[in-house]
Formats: sequence, structure tokens, C-alpha cells
Amino acid sequence: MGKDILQTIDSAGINGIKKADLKKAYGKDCDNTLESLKEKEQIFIEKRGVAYFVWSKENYIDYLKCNDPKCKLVLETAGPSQSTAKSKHTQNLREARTISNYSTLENNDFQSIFNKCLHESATSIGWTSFDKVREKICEIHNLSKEKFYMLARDLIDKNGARYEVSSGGQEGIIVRGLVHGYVRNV
Amino acid sequence: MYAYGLEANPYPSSPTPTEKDAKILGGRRHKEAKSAILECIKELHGKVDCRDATAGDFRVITVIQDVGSGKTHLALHIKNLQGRHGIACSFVDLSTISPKTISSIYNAILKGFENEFFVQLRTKFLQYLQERAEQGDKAAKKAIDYTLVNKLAGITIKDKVDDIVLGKNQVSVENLNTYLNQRLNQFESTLIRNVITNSFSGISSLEELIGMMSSISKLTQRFLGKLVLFEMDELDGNIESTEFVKGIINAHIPASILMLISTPSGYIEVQNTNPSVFDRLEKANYKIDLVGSNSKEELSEIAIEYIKHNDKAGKFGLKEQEELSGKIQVLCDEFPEFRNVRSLINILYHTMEKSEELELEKIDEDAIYDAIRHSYPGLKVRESLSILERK
Repeated sequence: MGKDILQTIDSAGINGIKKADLKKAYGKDCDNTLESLKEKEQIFIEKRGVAYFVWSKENYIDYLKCNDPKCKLVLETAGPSQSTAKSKHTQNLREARTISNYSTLENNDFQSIFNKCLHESATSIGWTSFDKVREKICEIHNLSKEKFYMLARDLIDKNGARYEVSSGGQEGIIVRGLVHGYVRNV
Repeated sequence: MYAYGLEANPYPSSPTPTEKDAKILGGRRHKEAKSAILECIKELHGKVDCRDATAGDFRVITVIQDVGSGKTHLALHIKNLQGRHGIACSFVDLSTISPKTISSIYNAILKGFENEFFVQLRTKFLQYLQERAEQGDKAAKKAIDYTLVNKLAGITIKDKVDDIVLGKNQVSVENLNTYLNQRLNQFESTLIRNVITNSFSGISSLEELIGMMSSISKLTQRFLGKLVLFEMDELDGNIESTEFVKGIINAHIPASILMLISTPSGYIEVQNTNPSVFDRLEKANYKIDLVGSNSKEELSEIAIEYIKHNDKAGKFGLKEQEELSGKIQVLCDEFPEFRNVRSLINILYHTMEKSEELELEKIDEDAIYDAIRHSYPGLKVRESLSILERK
């Protein structure tokens, strides 16, 4: 069964496969197999939104490269072209420092800063536009627009019950193909 | 036969709710919002009971939530309840009025009432004229064109008024004008004349619009004992809309409730384009917040309510409700893009159609996925494509 599962996971490609779908296909007993594969680092499991996704090792690296600029940078630096990495040392160091700042913000402060900003800018019913929050946070914390929305999207995905977003506005996060430019903490 | 032994598809298929669809209201949040609105109506009824309404007898309700969250549905549901709660309700969709002139807004308000409302107002006023005429008021007799010839022919005042109500006879417009002008203000006279003759004259200024809206609510309270609920849907930062709203809030239209429905985007537009209107909205008497309207629990409850309402065979028991609720929650998890009332109802409509086609006893996951696949064939939905492709 382990081989089959691994093959299914591998064939799911860079998007990975939902753990729930594997259970549907292989039954609840596949949990032990997944644990064993995970221990051997043949697969990687990560929570995305409300669901757990599973990747094979290679696919997971590709997934991280596409979705996490920090990992992309580290992997590129430590990759086969070490000479290139060396020549880019100064630039990478600068970027790494910036990323380190992002990382601190990401891990510890973004949620509280975001909530504080929402609280300060909101109307009496709690709604505020994303651009107001983004301008404040990016200015104070030297974040790029893209990074802000990446962190905001991640925060809202992980805490779906705590935030509501609403369509409209010039910028925001995309849901159902619509810009959702308004947010509130509930 | 549809799933759960239903004779018809319980879910509506229109992209926006109709009055008929809105007869069913499900979900704890939506029911709480309904209670708050009914509480406002009850409270104002208590204030104006047994006396003429004054400028203080005016209330503002705001309903702000995202598109597709059930705001219009809630407004139409309340309109459907107007007979039970002593209100006459006019529903106006501001997005359908273009250009938003004073005249077009007034016409939309008139059209927003049920036809029956004007028939009732007309009948009640004619009965009032009848009473006055029977008590010897000559001007009232003249208004209904009750003459000596009528009397000699054995026609009573009641007969005359009954004929006018049935459209077999007419009032004397000239004498009616004289009667009204002596007893009512300019706008009230105009409204009654329009209602009696069933021909509404146009208006051109905000002052006239406010005057006519005040007349509608005052005369409705006086003759029908009802409050007027003006429901204004799709309010945004449009200059004409906000000026109109500012005017009617400032005018404190007696014995009436103004319900303003908007999205967070529209609400913030008002904040940016007309701060003084925004300030008035912030001070609304009731601020209905449909927070959590797109939560999985709320969506499940709404979906279940539609089937329960149509379950004549009693096949949709607690077990079936729990099963369906579980499937809806999984659907919401797997397709976060569809996590709003409008999208979910649409998917369930197609799923129910599928259940009839496949003669299913109950809705199952395959029917839901098939419905999604057939209803949204070209849709690029994050996370969902892989599931659909695997099936």
C-alpha cells in the first residue's frame, strides 16, 4: 500500500493532494503509512487553509520554490551553482536581512499589527479598506505591497473564523475572481 | 421526484432573490436580524399607538454586509410579512434607477408598494368621506358627487361610495380638491387626489419628494393604522442617492422606518463622498450586522430550512438534516470560493435537479460534485480542480 500511496502523492504534482482524499481512496488505515513515509522524509504534510495537503519530497521543494520567496532564495543559494551564489553574496545578504525582518514580522507581529491597524481604521461596524491597512503597515514596517498581501492572505486563510472580507475596492485579496478590498475582524 | 421525496426543487434558481423566494428565511444570524427589524417596528408602533405621529417617530435601520450574504433576501422577507406586523412596505432597488432623479426615485418608491396598499388607502378614505357625508358634511357629499337626484332616486350615500370603490362611479375632482385643500396640507391633498383618481402626478424637487413621502406615512397611519417601511437597497456613494437619503433622514418622516441596505464597499463610499450622510448612518437606531452570514453553520441552516419548508412527506428527518449539514460543511471546506449564501443555493438548486434526474433518495457527494462540474464547467477554482479532475 505504501508504494501505491507514494505514487498517488507523487502524481498529484506541485499542488499536492489532500490528506482527506487519500483517506477516501485508501481508507483510514493509510494514516500509519503516511506517518511512516513522513518519518522517512519521503513525504511532507502541511496545513493549507482548513485542509492538510501531502507532497512527495521533490514536489514539496518545487511547491516551496513557487510559494515561499525565502525558501526559494535559500535553495538557490545552496544549490549547484555555488559560484553564482558566491558572486551574489552581497546582494543575497541584503535580501536575507530584509527577509529576516519579514520573517520576524510574519511569525510574531503581523497578526497583532494587522489587528491593531484594523481597529484604528475601522468604521463602527468594523469594516475598513485593505489599502488603508496596507499603507500603514507597509510604511512603518518597510514591507512591499506583494509581501503584505501574501501575509494578509495567509493570516485570513488560517483564521477564517476571525476575519470577514468583502468585495469591492481597488486592491485586496482575490476570492471567486473578485477583488475583496474590505476586511474586518469578527 | 426530487431527493427526500420533494415534489419540487426547494431552492430558487434566480441570481438575485425574488419576493417569492424570500418567503423562507433560514440561519440563526438572519433570524436574529429579522427579530431586530421586527423589534424596531413593534417599538415604533408602541410609540404612535392612539396618537398622531410626530417628527420623533422616525427610525433608521442599516444593513451592511458583503454581496450575496442575504441582505436583499432579508429585506424582501420582511416585506412579505407586512400584513402581519402592521406595516406598508416599499422596496426600492437603487441600482435599477438611472438616472437617479427626484422624479425617478419617487416613481420607484410608489412602485415599491404592493398595489393592494393603494387600493386599501383609497377604500379607507372613501369610507371616511362616506361617514362625513352621512353626518351631514356638505363638502363631503359634494366630493363624492352625491346629489339631490341621487337621493330622490333612492341611492344612499353608501351606495354611491360603494360604486366609486368599485369603479362604477367617480368622484367630483373639483369638489374633492376643494374638500381636501380645506382640510389637508398641499402634499396630503395631492396624494389623496392621486390615490382616488388612480393617477399619480410627477414631482421635481426634493422638497416635494419629502412632502409626498411624509404624506404617505401620515395618511397610512391615520387611515390604515400602519407604519411605512421604506427599504432602500444597494445604497452607495452616488451623489443623488446620498443627497436623497440625507434629505429624508433630516426630514424625520413621521410614522416611518427607513431601512438602508449596502455593502461594506458602498458604506465606505458614502463615508468618502458624503461624510454628513455617513455620520447619520453611523447614528442609525438599529445597525443590523449579518456577521457570520457566510459561516459554514449559517449556510447549513439556511440550506436545511428550504428543504424543511417543502418537506410535505416528512422524509427530511433529523438524521437526514445532520447528513446534509455535514456535506455542506465539507463543500464549504473544499470550495471556499462558494462559501456564500447565493453560491451555495445555486449549487444546491442544480444538485436537486440532478437528484431528480438520477432518482436519488437523498443528496450525496457525487450529486453535489456533478452539479458543480456541470454548472461551472470552465471555472478555475483553486483547490477544486484537482478534486474534479480526479473524479
